[in-house]
Amino acid sequence: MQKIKIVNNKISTADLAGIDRIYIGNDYCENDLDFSNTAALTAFYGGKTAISLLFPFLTDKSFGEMHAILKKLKKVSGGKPEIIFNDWGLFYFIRKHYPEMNLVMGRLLTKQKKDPRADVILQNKQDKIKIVKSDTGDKIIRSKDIPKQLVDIFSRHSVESDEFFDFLLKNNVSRIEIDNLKWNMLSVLTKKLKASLYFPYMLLTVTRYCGAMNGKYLKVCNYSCRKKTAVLDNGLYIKGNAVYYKNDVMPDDKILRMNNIDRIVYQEII
Amino acid sequence: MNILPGLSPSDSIEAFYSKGIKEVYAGFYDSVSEKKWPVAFNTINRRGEGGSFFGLKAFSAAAVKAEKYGMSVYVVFNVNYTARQLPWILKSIKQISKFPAVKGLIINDINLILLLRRQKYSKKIIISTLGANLNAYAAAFYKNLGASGIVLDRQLTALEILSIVKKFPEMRFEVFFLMADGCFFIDGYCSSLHVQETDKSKRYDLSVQSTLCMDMFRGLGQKKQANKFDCKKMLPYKCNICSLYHLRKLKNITVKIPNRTITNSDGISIIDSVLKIEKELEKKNITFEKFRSFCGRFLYESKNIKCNPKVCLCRDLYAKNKNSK
Repeated sequence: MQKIKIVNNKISTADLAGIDRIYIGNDYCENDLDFSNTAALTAFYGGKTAISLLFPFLTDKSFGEMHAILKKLKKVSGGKPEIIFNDWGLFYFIRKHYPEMNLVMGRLLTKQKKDPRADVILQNKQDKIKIVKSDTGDKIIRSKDIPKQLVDIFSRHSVESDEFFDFLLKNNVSRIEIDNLKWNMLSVLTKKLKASLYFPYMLLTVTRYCGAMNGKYLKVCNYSCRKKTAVLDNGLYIKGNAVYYKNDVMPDDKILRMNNIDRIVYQEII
Repeated sequence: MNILPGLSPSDSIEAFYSKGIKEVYAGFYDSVSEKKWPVAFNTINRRGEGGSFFGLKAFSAAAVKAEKYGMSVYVVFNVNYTARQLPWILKSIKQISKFPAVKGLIINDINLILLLRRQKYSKKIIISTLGANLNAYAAAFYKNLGASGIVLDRQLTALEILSIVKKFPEMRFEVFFLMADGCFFIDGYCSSLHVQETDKSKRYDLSVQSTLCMDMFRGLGQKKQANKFDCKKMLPYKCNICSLYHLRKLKNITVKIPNRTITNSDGISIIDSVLKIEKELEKKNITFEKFRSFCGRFLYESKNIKCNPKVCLCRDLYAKNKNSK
């Protein structure tokens, strides 16, 4: 099992023992991307660890410097660098201009249903009866059972089909990335396609409305993602523009094998 | 301007027609899908219970009536599916595509797009906002897969929209407008639970869970780190009215109205708003500055919300306009 760590742009020797690969970048916001130190990082870590670049959703402004970033990476990584894309525009850009690069489809594109609050409903453990008071008297609402097929689709991602496998493999995508669902993970991949599992935080969603999210209604990015993470009573973690949920129960070997997971991406957000 | 509202079973096609509407989008599900994957969980589309037509009979009645009024229907299958759902999805697409009024689909699932391409699907494919259409390369990617249109991401600024749209004059672009109940997150699909139920006596979710964003903001309030969140404060971020000054000049723009039964957002009143704004834009001496003032007044009078140029999607337009003077 490969061990991966997401690092920032600074060189650090801390906690990299046993790490096989580092991801430089992030998958939450283009404003916090900084690849200016990639060459130095590659030179520093190159002998011990492999390097990948991790990208989030992107707007047009990020493509202006993409050629410079990728050319530099190509030069310093010796041949076939690995890119983790979370944006189909970036996928298209790389296939068009850098077809030799190895691609990994990021966790924002594998489209798992992740909301941890669904767990109670999926297990049919929701309240069975509720009495609602109204002007016309009390009204009884009863719960409906969840079909097992619904639980099944919550346990799978959207990549699982021969059509999609072929498309990815033909386009030099040999790996997909997924989050560690709170419930079962039943997807089965073709053997040619490997999977990475993020641990212990699931990335539920991201926004560009950070100004509203942090309650300050600012007009420009103030890098709230670099500040303290808010840990909520309901189990959600808010870091800048991203919402996470912690699931620190590692799936058993059977699930790891079934999902072709051979890489664990360790991420710290606090 | 082409205006595209959602059509729910409770909506009147005649009323839409009387407002000059030529196109609508609609959802479809049936007893087979409902038994396995209740639409309330956004498993088939994002319109949920009440917003989608249940069964072919109901859909057929709406499609035939739409055809009578010369109205085009785009059908939404705008969520991501697992492989087990795809046979039902493909069968349903085949059924609903037989109606002449159905001109295309609004979809985003890559698997589904690939399968339709292999089957040489003959009607239009529009990529839903769930495709995270945030840049011109994404538009090129989807065009390459056979899409003729894109629903742009709700979080793009006016200048970002203009930049993408101008690069693809042959493609159709849909832009959201007055998103009072619009999603807070990129791609409108925060992997979260939206149980959109209408049945008053039986529900899947008796706790009536709020959306993830509301839970999040409540949580932030608890932590006293940001207790100022107010849904109304979000509208200046997303109203997108000012952008129409520039967008109306582009032939390939469609103004999309995200009205859903479940959120009680009334399509007709939003259409009326667009028409009123369009009328203002038709004035001969209208300048961007004058239009901005009008938009601010309009927002306040119609929604009781004060325009906040610092945060809105048109802020880059303001800056550009200011610099060009």
